[in-house]
Amino acid sequence: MTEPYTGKESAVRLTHGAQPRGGSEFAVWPKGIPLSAIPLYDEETKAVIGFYHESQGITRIFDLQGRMVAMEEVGLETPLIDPLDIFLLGGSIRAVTKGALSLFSRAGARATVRASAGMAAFLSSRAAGQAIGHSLRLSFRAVARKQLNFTSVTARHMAEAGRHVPVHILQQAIETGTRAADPQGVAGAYRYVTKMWKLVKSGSEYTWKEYTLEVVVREADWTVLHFLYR
Amino acid sequence: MTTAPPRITIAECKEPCRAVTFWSTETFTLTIQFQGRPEPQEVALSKQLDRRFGIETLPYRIVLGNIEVMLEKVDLIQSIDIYTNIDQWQRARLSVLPTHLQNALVAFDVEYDGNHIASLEVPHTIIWDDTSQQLALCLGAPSVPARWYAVADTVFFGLADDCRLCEVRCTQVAIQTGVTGHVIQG
Repeated sequence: MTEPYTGKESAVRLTHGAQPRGGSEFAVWPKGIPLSAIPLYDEETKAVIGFYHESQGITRIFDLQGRMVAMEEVGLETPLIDPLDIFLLGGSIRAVTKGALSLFSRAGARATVRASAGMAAFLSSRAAGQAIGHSLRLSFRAVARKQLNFTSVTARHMAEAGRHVPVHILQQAIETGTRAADPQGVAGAYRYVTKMWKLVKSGSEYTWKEYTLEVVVREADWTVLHFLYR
Repeated sequence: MTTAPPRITIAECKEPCRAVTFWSTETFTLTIQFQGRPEPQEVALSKQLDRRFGIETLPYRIVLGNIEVMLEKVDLIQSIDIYTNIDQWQRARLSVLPTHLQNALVAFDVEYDGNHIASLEVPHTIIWDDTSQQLALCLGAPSVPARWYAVADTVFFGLADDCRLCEVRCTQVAIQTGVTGHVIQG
C-alpha cells in the first residue's frame, strides 16, 4: 500500500430511470415526533409526507421536517361515518398505522384505516384539510428537492427494487440520524444511522417493519458512497 | 442477532456461471457480479409472464454484517457487495484451492421477512493474497473450510463441517486504484 485515499470518486446524479417501479412505502420519523404517531401516505407524491398524533385530548399533524402544521382538540363524539372513507387531507392522503390490525389501501380505492375522533375533527373541514395537505406536500418537496450525488455503485443500487431507498428518506437519515466517522476510514466521509420503517405486505394487509438505515456520505460534495438497510 | 454465518444448502449444477470481482477507489465497494447463468426454462417463462403483465418480482437480499448478497431467487445469486476500504484488508498467503471442484447452486438457510430481507450480524475479514491474486472473504470465527464448491468460474464457497459458509474465495480480482489511489504491491 503506498498512497493515502483521496476519495475523489466522480459523483453522478440519479436519473428518473434509476428508480424502480412502485411507490415509496418508507418512513423515517423526524426528530421529536412520537413513535406512536401515524404516518400519512400521499397517493399524489407516493410517499409518507406527514404524521398524525393524538395525545391527552389534543391531535396534531406534523410535516416531514418535524414541524407541527395543525393542532386541534379531540371532538367529543365519534363520527357516524369514518371520515377517512370520505375525505383525507385533500383527497389522497391516507393514514397508515403501525399496528398489524390496520389496512393500507395502495390502490387508491377506499382507505380502511379507522380514524379516531381527533382525526375526524381535522377532517371535518374540507378547506382546512386541503390547506394541511398542501402544507405537508410543500414540506415533503423541500426535503426531496435537496440533491444528493451517487457513485456508480450506489446509483446502481438505487435502481434495484430490493435495495432502493427514496432520496428523501436518505436525506431524512442525514438530517435525523446519528453521525459518526466512516468506519471504513474514507477521508471526509461520515456514516449516518437511523431507524427506518418500510411497509410489508402480508396477505391483504400492510404493516410497518422496522429497519436500521445507514448512509455513508462524502460531505465535500454530498455523494452517497454507501447505503444499506437491514 | 447472531454472529454465526448462515448454513448453505448445495444443489448440483452442471455448468458454472461466470463471475467478476472488482474493487475501486471510485466506489470503495468490492463487488462480485454473477452473470451468464443459463436459466431453467420455467424461470425464463415466469419472467416473461411477469414482464408481460407488469408484475415486479421482489428479489431477495441477505445482509451479513456489512456484506449484501442479492439473489434473483433463493438459490440464484446476482451479486455480493461490500463497502470496504482496501486499507483494512489483511495481506497473507492463502491456501491453495483443491482442483476439480463440484459446480454448485447454493441456497442460504436464512429466514426472509415480508420484504424478502434476511439480516445476520456476521463479522468478516478480507484477506488479499498478492502472489496468487486471490481474495478471501472470511465469515464468522476463523475456521478452515472442510469442503469447497465452485459457485462460479472464479468464485468458490468454503463450508465448515456444519455446512456454515466460512469463506468466499475469489480469483482474478480486478483492483482499480485510479491515479491517486492505492497500488497493491507484493
